[in-house]
Amino acid sequence: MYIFKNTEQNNFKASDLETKSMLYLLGMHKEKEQIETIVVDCFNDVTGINTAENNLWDIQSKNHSIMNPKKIGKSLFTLFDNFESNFNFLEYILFIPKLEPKYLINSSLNSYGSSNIVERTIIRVENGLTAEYERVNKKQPDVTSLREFMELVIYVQDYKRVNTYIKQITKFKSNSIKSEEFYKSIFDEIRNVQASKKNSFIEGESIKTISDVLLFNRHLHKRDIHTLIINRFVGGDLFAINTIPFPFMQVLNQYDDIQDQQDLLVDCNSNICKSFFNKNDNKRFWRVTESIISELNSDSSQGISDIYNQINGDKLKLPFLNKKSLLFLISIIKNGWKDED
Amino acid sequence: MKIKKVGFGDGNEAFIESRFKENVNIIFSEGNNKGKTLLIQGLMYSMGNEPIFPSGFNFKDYHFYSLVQIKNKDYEFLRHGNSIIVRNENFLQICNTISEFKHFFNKVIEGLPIIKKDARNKVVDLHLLFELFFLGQDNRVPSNLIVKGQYNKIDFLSMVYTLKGIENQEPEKYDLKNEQIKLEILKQDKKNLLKKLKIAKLNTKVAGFTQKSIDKELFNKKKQELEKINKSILDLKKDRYREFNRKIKLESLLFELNSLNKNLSQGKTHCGECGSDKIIFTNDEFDFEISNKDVRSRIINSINENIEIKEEIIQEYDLQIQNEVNQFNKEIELSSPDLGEYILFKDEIINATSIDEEIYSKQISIDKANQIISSITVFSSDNSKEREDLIKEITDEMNRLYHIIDPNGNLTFNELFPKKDQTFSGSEGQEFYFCKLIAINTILDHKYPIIIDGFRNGEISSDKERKMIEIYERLSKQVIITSTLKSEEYAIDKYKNTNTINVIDYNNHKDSKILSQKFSKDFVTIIESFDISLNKN
Repeated sequence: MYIFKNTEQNNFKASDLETKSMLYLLGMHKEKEQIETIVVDCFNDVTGINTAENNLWDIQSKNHSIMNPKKIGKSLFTLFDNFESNFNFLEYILFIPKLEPKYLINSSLNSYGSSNIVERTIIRVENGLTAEYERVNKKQPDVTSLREFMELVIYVQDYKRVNTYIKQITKFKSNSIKSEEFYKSIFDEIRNVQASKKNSFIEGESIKTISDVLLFNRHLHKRDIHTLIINRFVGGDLFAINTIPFPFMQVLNQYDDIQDQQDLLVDCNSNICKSFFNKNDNKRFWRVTESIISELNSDSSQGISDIYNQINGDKLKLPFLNKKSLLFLISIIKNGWKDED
Repeated sequence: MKIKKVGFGDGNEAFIESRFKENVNIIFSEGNNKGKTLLIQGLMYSMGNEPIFPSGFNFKDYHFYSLVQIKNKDYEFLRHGNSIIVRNENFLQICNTISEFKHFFNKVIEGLPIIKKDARNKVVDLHLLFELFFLGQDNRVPSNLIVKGQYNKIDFLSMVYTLKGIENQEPEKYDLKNEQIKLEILKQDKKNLLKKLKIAKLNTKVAGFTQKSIDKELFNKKKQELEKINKSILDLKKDRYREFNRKIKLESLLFELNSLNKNLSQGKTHCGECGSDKIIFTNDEFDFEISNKDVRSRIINSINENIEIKEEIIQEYDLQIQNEVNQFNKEIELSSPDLGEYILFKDEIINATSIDEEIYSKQISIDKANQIISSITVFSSDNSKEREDLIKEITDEMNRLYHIIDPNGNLTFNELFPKKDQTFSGSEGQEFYFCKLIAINTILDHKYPIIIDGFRNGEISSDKERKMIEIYERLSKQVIITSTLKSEEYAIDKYKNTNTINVIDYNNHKDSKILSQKFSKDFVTIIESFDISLNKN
């Protein structure tokens, strides 16, 4: 018998937290609307880039079982390093498990600046950061620069439950109740894709502008994550509850006979099911969902026929999706779309 | 569950009752025909009960509405015919059959008990559930269920066991040999019927059929009635056929989905360089699969569930068709013997409409028998003692209650459904039902109200009535009961409002005319709020 003892067991927990930090940036951060692309393991664990590609939101996540002030300081190093670079980082976020209340002035906050950390602790945090800086750079950090950085850094605590992160991402709200596992499986998919982004070798490479980083294919677009989640929700709801999405009523009302209506509903559900099972043409189906979402993003009050025309529904010619089924798909997504107040 | 509002009517006249409180509600009037029964039956009907309206009330012409709080959430139900629309703050659901409504109720509103019936698990129909806490004025037969449908009293007991967490198992023991013999007989029956159908089809023309010798007017009237029923049978059959088709479609969908998924595993792609079969799309930044395993298995489960629901809907149609056929036969039996030729006509219609119906029902029985035979080997643990104990607990409580309201009474209850030959005289039937509903409420501790239409039918004495009301008050849950008063009782204001009693007087309603224009505007507003034009009724 051989017992595995020296595997990188922390890797799993760590990448979980990295994924959470990414979802945080896309779904909960106050400037989430601006963030368009997420770069993985380039500047830091996770870095958000805006559409104009001139701003960066930098996140370092750390999952030590005991997060003492020294370790917090050490964890801040990569963020500080980026602070000192000539790239334009807008925000420096340390994503960590809940800290012990004794370190904090108000321990009920989920995100806070250094000012919420008690003075004794903040000194030890700074010492930890300085020590790490000296270890790596073999010199002392600039004190004014370090102080300035400490004023800027934001600490965000992990909310724990995976569904909270998933639910916050999109404006699409599903009607039916889904199990914890359902959310976990979506989360795992995102985590795996995120992890696979790290498989290339970029150590030592250099870039001149922010947009150069996209050449390494270590990024994910926000719309991909959105599409993924909405796709999973829609798939999970097919046939699950036979609620008719409101916008589809206009199609359904073209039929007087209830039996004809029922047939239509079964057909539409069936066709979308087939699309979900058909792996041979999945890219095109994915693009359709994506374009529906993007239409709703630009104007959620559009009618389903408008969206159908906007995405060139007649010309798509997808294997299973006829016009009514596509309208049904649009209706499901539109029906679940809840604009925030 | 709390009842907040009940309404029914059409565009011209309506009635709305919203005076219910969360304690004991007594609805009363002097004399009958004030609409109490319509209100109570309308309430239950709106929530999917079988119709048991007083004769002469054409319930099919009206819409029935209720606002009910279930698990602290408000739900509105609007029923017309067999369509029920359910609405709460988050959704609007249209159910076109009662089975569909039941499954929606079970899934989204509140889980319903599941019992074993004919060797398979079945979510109980709402009318069976309602017998736990609702007693209508009519059809009272202590020895059996009030609304049977496809259920019997054993199913009611199964439901009671299930609600108390006693493992659900088929109460009847099947004998394999016996079942196999039954199956053979059924198959033979079906064969014979097929032959009969063949012959019937040969004689479709009624030779020399004349109407000379019979009363033309009577004949035409009869003929119209029969044709109406016949049309309704044909319509139902058409609907059933459509539903059946959809079920088949879903079954083939399952096959197709499986093969769509298989296509991929058959034509395996390998990487020419390293031999790995893990080929994923990474070109132009596309990294996700179109669906994941969870989504796919969820879809498959949902389709399977849908197929089961469709089966139930088909059974519901079966029952409706059976009812219509019975009605048809009854009409014919009522025909006067003068209609000699007419009887001839009858044979033709019956042959045409009901032989294939009989064949169909034989097929259902054959399926059922097959199912039972295949499940007989399944071992189930014996928990007959637990069952007996529960029934004893309930009947003990019934006897205790009985002695409170009738200290000198000489009845003893041993079962929830007394033997047929045990007759209850005078007020005893009412006392039995009272004890049964209250005891079930106490022992099962269920969350439903108590609803009794005519709670003192059978001349319950004032003393007993007073004790009953006291018991209702102590339940501290919503109780809705109705009572018809004699003039002298009405004159002395028999029921008075208290902290625990809410009295609702129906005496000002015109005789046999609860529906009025007074409420029609409000009712139309309610109906329109459901966007009823969507519901093609």
